[in-house]
Amino acid sequence: MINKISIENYKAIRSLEISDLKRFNLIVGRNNSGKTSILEALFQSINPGNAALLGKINRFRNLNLLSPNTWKNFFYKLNTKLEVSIETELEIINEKRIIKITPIMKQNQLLIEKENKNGIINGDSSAGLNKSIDGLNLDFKIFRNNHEDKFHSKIISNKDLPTNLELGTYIQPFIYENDESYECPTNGKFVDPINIFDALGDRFSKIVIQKQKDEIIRRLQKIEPELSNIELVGSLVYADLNYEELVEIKTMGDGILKLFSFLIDIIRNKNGILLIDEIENGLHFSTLNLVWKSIFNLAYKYNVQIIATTHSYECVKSFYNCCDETSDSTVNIQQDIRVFRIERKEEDNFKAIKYTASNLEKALERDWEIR
Amino acid sequence: MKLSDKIIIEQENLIIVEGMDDENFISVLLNYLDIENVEIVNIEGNNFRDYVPEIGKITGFDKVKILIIISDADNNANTAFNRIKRSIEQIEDYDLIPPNNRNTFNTERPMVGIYIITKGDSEEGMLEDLCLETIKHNNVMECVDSFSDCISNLGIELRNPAKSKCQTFLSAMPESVPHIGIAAQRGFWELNSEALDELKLFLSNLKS
Repeated sequence: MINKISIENYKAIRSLEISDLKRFNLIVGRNNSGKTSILEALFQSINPGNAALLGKINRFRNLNLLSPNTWKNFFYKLNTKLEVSIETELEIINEKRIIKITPIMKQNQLLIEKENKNGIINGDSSAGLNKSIDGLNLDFKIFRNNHEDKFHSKIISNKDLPTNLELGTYIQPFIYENDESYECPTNGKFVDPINIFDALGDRFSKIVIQKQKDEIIRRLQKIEPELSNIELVGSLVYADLNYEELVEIKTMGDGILKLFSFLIDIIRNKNGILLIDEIENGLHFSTLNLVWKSIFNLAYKYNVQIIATTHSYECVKSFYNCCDETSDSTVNIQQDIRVFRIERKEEDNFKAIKYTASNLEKALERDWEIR
Repeated sequence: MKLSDKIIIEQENLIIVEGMDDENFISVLLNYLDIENVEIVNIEGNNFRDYVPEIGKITGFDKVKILIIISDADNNANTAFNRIKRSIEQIEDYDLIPPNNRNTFNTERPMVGIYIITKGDSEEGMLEDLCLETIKHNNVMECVDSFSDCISNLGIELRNPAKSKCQTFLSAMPESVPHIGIAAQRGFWELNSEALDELKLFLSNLKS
């Protein structure tokens, strides 16, 4: 479980620290307050050695992966001279991770840099703004039991792209080299509104094989009482609503489909961390309570930490109300929830305002805007 | 238009008051003083001790450059001042430094000021006392005072003499208004009264 993250020079964030993360965390804030960037930085921290995640993050943002500028967007104000730093502290495994991201200069760029140092060419040394880069170095340190280990991975653009592309050909836009001496003890997933339903059948098949589908059906029945079974037919997921035929689950409402997907992700990321961008997206407020209750419930069972973002006041309200209602003598969810509002301060130094359950209770009661 | 239908801070100047009457009264006074761009939050139904330590959590608090808290002295101005001072020191997420004396500001940034409403130079009082001070030369007040004296002579102790006098005074106004804040909006209190000089001087810090 990640309980602290400090970010420097990552995308629009000059600096930000969020501490005291708990099992269930909601990140709120205005547009451009860096919420998605925070999830991305967390995503990289879950598996610091996997340089391919940097490519994946670009893909989430729908960036042109073949553009020479694709790697620059990781740097604050696109300034590749400002090293990106992401520090996280993890509870239970008692680990501190420090990730540094630096540019891999283009070969000819390196030459100019070298000449610069010798004073031959007086180029613009100010920001490195106009320089293209080939990829990213991912250097990271792991501190555990008073011991420090250093690792290095990298990702670069694929230069051997075929010249005559046929329609539909898949091309790998980048190549990565991960440090094989590092074994990552944490796992997790980044869910965003675009990829949420990707490979639904494939993901569900693992749940079927591990005989865990009842865990999901039982919870979906709270939204759709007619649901008696969920079947996998080929790569498609069908729901049994006691009609003459099964219906494809994708034809059911957004609410049930999203919850279905979240529950699969929770089970599949046992002991891990689930990052969900815009969790409320597509959910009617009447479904929110059922979604939160199911998430709370299953995430405890599978020991999963949830860190989600939202724009919605209803979503924050439901998050608090459900934690209050779901708590009982065996589990006190109130201790395990946090809301953080991200504020953009002067010079892009960001600040996280923390709400405990008690802060939230009063803020909602007093009708305070907290987003 | 406000960015939200919830309580949100959109101005750099924030005044926190105890209730709706205070909110209306201060808002009218600010208008009289030509002071704009002030957000007033009233903590109605809460007390400063619980409310103030958490105000940093309201969206928009980060932009506040001047924070003012206005409270009644009630029975003891110093007690009221110290209670608010402590609550400011307890504000989470921000390091705000309260002033050392009442009716003054600190010398730090953001500026923080505490104003305690008293009855004239006494150590006790409430907004109603201040309102009454503004109209003490008004002819109607002779009747209001005789009414109070008459009730007293019957051996009946008025539960809240200041409130009672305000209501009696307001009953003589051309329009019936139940609240002293609304009375301020109607112009029934005399804003040019010297009784308001100290408060006006204090609020003039909001003039940029």
